[in-house]
Amino acid sequence: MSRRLGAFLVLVAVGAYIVVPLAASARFSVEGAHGAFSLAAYRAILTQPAAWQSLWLSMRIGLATVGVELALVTWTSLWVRLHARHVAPLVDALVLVPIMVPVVVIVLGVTSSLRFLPAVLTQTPAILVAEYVVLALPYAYRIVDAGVGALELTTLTEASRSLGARWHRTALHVLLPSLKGPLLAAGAMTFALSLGEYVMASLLAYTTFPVWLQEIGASQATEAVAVSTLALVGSVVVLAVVVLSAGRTHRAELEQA
Amino acid sequence: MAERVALTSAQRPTTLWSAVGAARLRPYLGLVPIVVYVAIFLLVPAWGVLAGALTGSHHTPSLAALRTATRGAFAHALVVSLELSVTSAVVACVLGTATAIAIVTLGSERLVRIASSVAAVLANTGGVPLAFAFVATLGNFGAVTLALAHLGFNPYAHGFSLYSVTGLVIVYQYFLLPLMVLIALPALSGLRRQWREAVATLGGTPRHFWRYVGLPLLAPTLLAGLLVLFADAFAAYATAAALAGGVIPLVPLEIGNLIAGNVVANQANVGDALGLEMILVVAVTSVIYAVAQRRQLRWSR
Repeated sequence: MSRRLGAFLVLVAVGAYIVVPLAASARFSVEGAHGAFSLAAYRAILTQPAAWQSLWLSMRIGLATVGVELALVTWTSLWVRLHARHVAPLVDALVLVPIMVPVVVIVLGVTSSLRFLPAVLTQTPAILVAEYVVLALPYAYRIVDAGVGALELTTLTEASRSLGARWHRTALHVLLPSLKGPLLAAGAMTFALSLGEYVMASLLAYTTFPVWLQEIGASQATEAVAVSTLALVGSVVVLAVVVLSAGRTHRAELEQA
Repeated sequence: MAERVALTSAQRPTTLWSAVGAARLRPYLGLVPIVVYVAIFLLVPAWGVLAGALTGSHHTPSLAALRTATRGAFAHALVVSLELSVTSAVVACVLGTATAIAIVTLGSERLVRIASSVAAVLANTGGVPLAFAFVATLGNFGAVTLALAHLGFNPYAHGFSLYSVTGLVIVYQYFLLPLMVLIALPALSGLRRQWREAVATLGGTPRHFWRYVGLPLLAPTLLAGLLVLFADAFAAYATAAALAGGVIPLVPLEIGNLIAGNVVANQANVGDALGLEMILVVAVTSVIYAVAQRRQLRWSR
């Protein structure tokens, strides 16, 4: 009995550590003059053009990153499982390489070694898209590849082909629909990652949402905390979607096994 | 009929390719996009850092940058960085394992599943918002600081500061602790109840169980977790920059300063040298991790 009590107390303490900062920042953000309740901070954010501009930039970067990421990852995973099974361990290792290189080091290399690329790629936020795809690669590839692995790939493609479908029809009408769950999970994961990324955006001097947040943090504390509360809650919601939909495919995989 | 169509359409490209004599290359063709992509956007920049670190001011091979990067203020930054990431990793490893044990002890299947979902979400939080949330909690006028002061114990009067290594260690637990829970839960769930009973039947106490069965079995997992946590803390930048930019010298922040343009003439390649240092630290960690993983696999068979 005492063991269960101890375990319970540990969980309560950890739970408090997780919840208290969220509660404290929520409370701080609605505290007006003399401790009265006030939504002034939230109103102030809504009326700042810079807030909307940075959020809009972050959204566009996020969507573009998701697009490139899913195309690259889905193509590779399908190809490996259909045509090049023996190189699967190599590809698995390749997609893990980004974890080995700290983001700030990638930025160093990007500023010095990518001059051979066209300026439209390196002198615009497009470079953030290109690099965020690299940063999200390990996570996105694992999620999508697990989904592809759970499919009866050979059966599906052969059935589709024997019904007369060309490869692009097979991909569009057979494979993509059956990969909806993993693609959604990988997409949400990638989107959350690129929306929250601070290091690269700030060092390459693009005012994305987190960079803007850090900038106002110095002068407008209440507003900054208000935005942080929203951002934390928002990213928790997005990531919950990931975990739930990824969990579903995982369960499906287990049931198949 | 359908069979025949499928066969011919599958075989045609193969025969064509083998006519050219490149049939063996065909499986690698579809890998071109990802290989080229990773090469351009990851390997070329990483190679640039490596080459830069070993180049002198006159484009000749030189160790001058590396020498500068391992001396004076930069050496201090490396020491503080290691201190911060080792402390955070050890604390998170202990607390995370304790939390995972608590979860398994209370353990319905459902609780374990919910806990690992929650942990997976929290392990991915961080960045600037997390820093500000903690300013509102443990900053000079944070809710918890004020509450403690009200009870007669103002932490800031006793040498605590959120904007210190101790403060960062506390903040980092927010994403490191859940990560450790995520790593430890599967291994703990794998400890069979029968083993505990076997120890009890032989007259052993729970202490004996942990000393001779539990810990030796968990050791590789705990070591692997420790290394992952260390690498995560070592590379963390955003939270540290928002909380302690300019106050605590850390290697990633120093690199950031150099990129942001505070470059003195003879420090042009010092950023690259610091980058090389970071890559080396993470690489050594990864190698030890891979070895630990192999051991763990051997046990779980």
